[in-house]
Amino acid sequence: MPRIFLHSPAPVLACLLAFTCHTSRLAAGNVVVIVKDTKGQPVTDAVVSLIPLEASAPAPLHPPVEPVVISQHGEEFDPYVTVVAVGTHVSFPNLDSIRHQVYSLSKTKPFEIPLYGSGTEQSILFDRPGIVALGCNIHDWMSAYLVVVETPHFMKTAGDGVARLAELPAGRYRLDVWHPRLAGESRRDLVVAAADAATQTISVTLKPDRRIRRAPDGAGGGYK
Amino acid sequence: MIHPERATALFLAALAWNSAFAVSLSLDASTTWADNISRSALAADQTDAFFHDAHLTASHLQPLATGLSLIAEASAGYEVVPRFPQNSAYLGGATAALRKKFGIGAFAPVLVSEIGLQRREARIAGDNSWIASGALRFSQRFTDAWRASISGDWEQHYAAHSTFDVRHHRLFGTLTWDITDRWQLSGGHGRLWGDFDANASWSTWGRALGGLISPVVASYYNTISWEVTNAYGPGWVTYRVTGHSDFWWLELSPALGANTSLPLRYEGSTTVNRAGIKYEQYGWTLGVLHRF
Repeated sequence: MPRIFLHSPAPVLACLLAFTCHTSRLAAGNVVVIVKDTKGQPVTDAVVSLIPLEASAPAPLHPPVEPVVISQHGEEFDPYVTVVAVGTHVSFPNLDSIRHQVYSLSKTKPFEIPLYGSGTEQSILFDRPGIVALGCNIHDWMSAYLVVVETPHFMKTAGDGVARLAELPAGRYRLDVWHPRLAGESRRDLVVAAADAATQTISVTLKPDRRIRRAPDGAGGGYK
Repeated sequence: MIHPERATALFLAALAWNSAFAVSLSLDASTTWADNISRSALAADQTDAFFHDAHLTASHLQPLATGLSLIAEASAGYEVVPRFPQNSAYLGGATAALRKKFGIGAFAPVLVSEIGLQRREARIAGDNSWIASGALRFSQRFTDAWRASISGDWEQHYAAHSTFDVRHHRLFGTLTWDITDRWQLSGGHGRLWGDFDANASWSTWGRALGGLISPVVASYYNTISWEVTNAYGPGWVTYRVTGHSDFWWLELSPALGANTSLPLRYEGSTTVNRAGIKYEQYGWTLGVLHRF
């Protein structure tokens, strides 16, 4: 009878671990989402998220330990659109020399940070999924959006309209696309296959940009 | 008298101040084609001319508490009518405004109360004056694109000569439509009550005082302050009357970026004084507003 001599269990465990990681990687797929408007132009700042439809348990979200930053600089929010997972802390540092008063009236997370100047920073926990519209009560033209998603698979499109989502476990997903100017909603189901690199091109209809105008107003007319 | 060198020094000081503190500098310059700039009732006296003005303003917005901000402004400017240089003037002054926002968000109503003091150094010596002003403005945004405001203001000139000691108040409403993020259309309508200055050529003035226009006019004009200013030609008279003026305007303002706009305004007014003398004025104004 052949005998197998195991001098140490370590090499076997290392082999098992390497095999497990390899099969896991093989079971993961990548999705490239290209968001374009009806004229075929790339759409920047579109939030793309993939929600698993078959998972028996919700996918772990792993919110970052450090707060995600939305700063105020030059009397504007930076960035304009941010996407985070539920359970993420977001800080709002003021980099201007004037004080700001950041608020949200959105049902997802109504809040108000009372007047604060540069060097002061407060973070807020976003514990429910949804859209949070941000504003400054001193400077009405300042606006930004925070999208809180209940999935670890999300990304924002860059200037080329592309969002790359990697390391997705194989399975069925719902692909959601959101943009501040999106007319209606954009969602579709898709299947991610192991070792696949699928490209999804999504055409969205955008409403006109209705941000509050910042350019100076004239004094108007009137007899004096 | 404010000299150009002093104005330049003021500008440089404001720039330095701007970099040191949270001060916003802005420039407001415009050219107006004024129909009946002379404010004359008789057609023969009505004179049209270009009018240019430029103002530099340094402003500081200081949030004081939730919903309450103080806006302090200092400004200096120059007004010139090239065809009638007698009407040129330097202006400099300061205003302080309290801005109260009733609630949070862009749609919360806002009340602004403002007081100001300005110095006017004019080519016409009698027009050198201190100008005290006060204003109350209520504004409300209805959508991202539409907002309205109602304003009331008051102004008192303490001039070197009584002819220019005018005091009046106005009430007017403004409706603003941000058609796109670049184009804005606004309009307003209102009324002024109180004193204002008007002008007449020497021959017209002589006829008015002599009762050749009407006994009512002669009776009234013989009680008011007037002086020969040569404002619109040799022998021209400036006189101070009481009455009211209805005014309106329509303004199209394209934004050239976040800090610059180029408003084009058409405006008109109909003014009637206590003796029933009436005149109309119209004007086209092209301006540039820039926040540094």
